[in-house]
Amino acid sequence: MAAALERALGPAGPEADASVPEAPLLVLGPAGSGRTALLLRAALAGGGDGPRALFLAPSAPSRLPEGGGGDPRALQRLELRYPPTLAALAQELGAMAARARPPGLLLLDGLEHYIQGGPSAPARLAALLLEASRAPRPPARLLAALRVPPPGPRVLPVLRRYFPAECRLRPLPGVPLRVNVRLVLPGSVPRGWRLRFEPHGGLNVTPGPGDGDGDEDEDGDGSGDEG
Amino acid sequence: SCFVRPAVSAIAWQGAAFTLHKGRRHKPTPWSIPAAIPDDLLLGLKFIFGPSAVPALDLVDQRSVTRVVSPSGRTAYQVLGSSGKLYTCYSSCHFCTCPAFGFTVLQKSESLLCKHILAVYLSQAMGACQELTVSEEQLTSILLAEEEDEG
Repeated sequence: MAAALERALGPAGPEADASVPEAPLLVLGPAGSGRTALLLRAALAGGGDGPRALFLAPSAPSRLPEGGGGDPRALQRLELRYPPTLAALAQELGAMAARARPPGLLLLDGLEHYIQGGPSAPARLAALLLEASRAPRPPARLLAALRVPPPGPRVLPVLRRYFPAECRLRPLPGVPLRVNVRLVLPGSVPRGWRLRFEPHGGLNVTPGPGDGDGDEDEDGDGSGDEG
Repeated sequence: SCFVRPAVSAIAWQGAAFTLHKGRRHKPTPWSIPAAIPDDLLLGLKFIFGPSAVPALDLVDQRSVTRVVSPSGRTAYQVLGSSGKLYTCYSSCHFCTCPAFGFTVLQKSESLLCKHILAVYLSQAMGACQELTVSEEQLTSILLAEEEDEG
């Protein structure tokens, strides 16, 4: 999934590294930090020649993306569906596996909405997504977004067991509509970008620093950054 | 049906007796454990998986693991626990509906996996899975099966 994100965001800072391992990727950020926009941008990356993408969310995004880099064919390969409950989501994921042409990219927005039930709920949700992404051959790439602070102290450590790669969005304090992005991949140097949300709905992306700020509470879960 | 326990070997370990199948001296039945498990593999299982190893081997002996397949090729595993409760294990990542998975594996990080997941791996390796085909809807509901109580 990191390759799709990099296509979406462009080359990262000076630490850019050509070999990027693919892994299920978790996008984390507080409300308003641009998780949905980032997912949609990743879905449309590659223009009309990119993979078929299935975008799932509890409800429709407030703003739909512009065509990917101006290519209207990009929107044609994007399917948007809005299962309101975990059971409905499981049905969608099951139907995905049964298709003649399953999508190459699976994106889920609003993980926090679907985490219901007991302490194993985050694990079950993550496992359902992984199963769905791996059932079609070849496997689909997986990207899921969680609003932080998460709905409980055990959610993030459990999700991280299933999502080796992580992309953290951090709004810049005091600077409206600007967000720092930090991509953390296993065995790889973290990379970064800076996002600027434009008033008309566009998204401006520039390379940024990939290093974090030490022990800040990036997860918003009340404890220091556990990496 | 003639249920034949594999031959008992000489190994006793922490009070638990391992059973080793010492080669096929009888007509092979479709469900018999096909190969001898060398002692060093059993030692390895015990070393790595600790308290889950022997219970998992028991589950394999009891043919407790069923591979469930849907028409699209999705799979899941159902494991019949010792108390008669049915647990669901996922096939492409570690997830089990048993309480030990939620507590000992996810929360406490004391184990890599529960005995049911280990039994699935062992049954796959030894060709000891039962097979069941279900509809897409049934497989989805198996994947959504709620976490079971202790059993």
